[in-house]
Amino acid sequence: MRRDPEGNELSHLLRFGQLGGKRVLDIGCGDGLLTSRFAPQAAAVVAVDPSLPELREARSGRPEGLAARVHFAAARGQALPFAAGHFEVAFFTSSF
Amino acid sequence: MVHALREVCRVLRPGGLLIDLRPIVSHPPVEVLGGDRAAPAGRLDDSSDSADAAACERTLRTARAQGWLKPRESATFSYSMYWDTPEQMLEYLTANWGEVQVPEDVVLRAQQLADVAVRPVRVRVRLTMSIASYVRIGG
Repeated sequence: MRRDPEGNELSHLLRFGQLGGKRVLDIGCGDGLLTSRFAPQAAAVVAVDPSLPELREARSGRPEGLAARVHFAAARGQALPFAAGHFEVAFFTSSF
Repeated sequence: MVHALREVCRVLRPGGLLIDLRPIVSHPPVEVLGGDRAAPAGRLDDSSDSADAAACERTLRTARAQGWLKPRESATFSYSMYWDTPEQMLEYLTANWGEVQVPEDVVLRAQQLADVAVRPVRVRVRLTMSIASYVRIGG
């Protein structure tokens, strides 16, 4: 299965998010495919999802070069374990 | 949902951006691609997502009314997913899109079209996505 090989989603996220040099929170990252696509543009990314199987897949699929920049964590949107004002951009990707 | 959005606003610095990205309920078309032809096989039934979509809209309205967020820009775009066979599509959608109905006649029609299409064949589901950005207000 291939998702969005045209790159429409990524191009819109990059245009809307203006990620250069920013700390980004990705809420509902799922298998992390999209996270790994936009992460090279950001300073740092924390991607959260409540599903442990999805997070395992996300970690295993994370490109080697992004290991220091992208962190995956188990969390729900209702209780985010981060300090106030920590992020400059937050993505809700299909996951209110 | 309001609680979750408030929590996101808490961890977002004032002036920061919230990006809301989600599919629009649109009965996504299923097409069989072969050669230079895209043959329609029917549509998926995503109407069960309507309640969630309405709840998202209510939540964002609340956030704007409470002065947490200010709308910045929005757009829609096409998002396609591809499989090699209708069976692979059905297996994926059943496992991952629990709420979306895949009508039997659509799968059957896709199979019939795939049987006669020019190789290589692909099956495409085309979603319409909504993206909107909001600026975090206040301290």
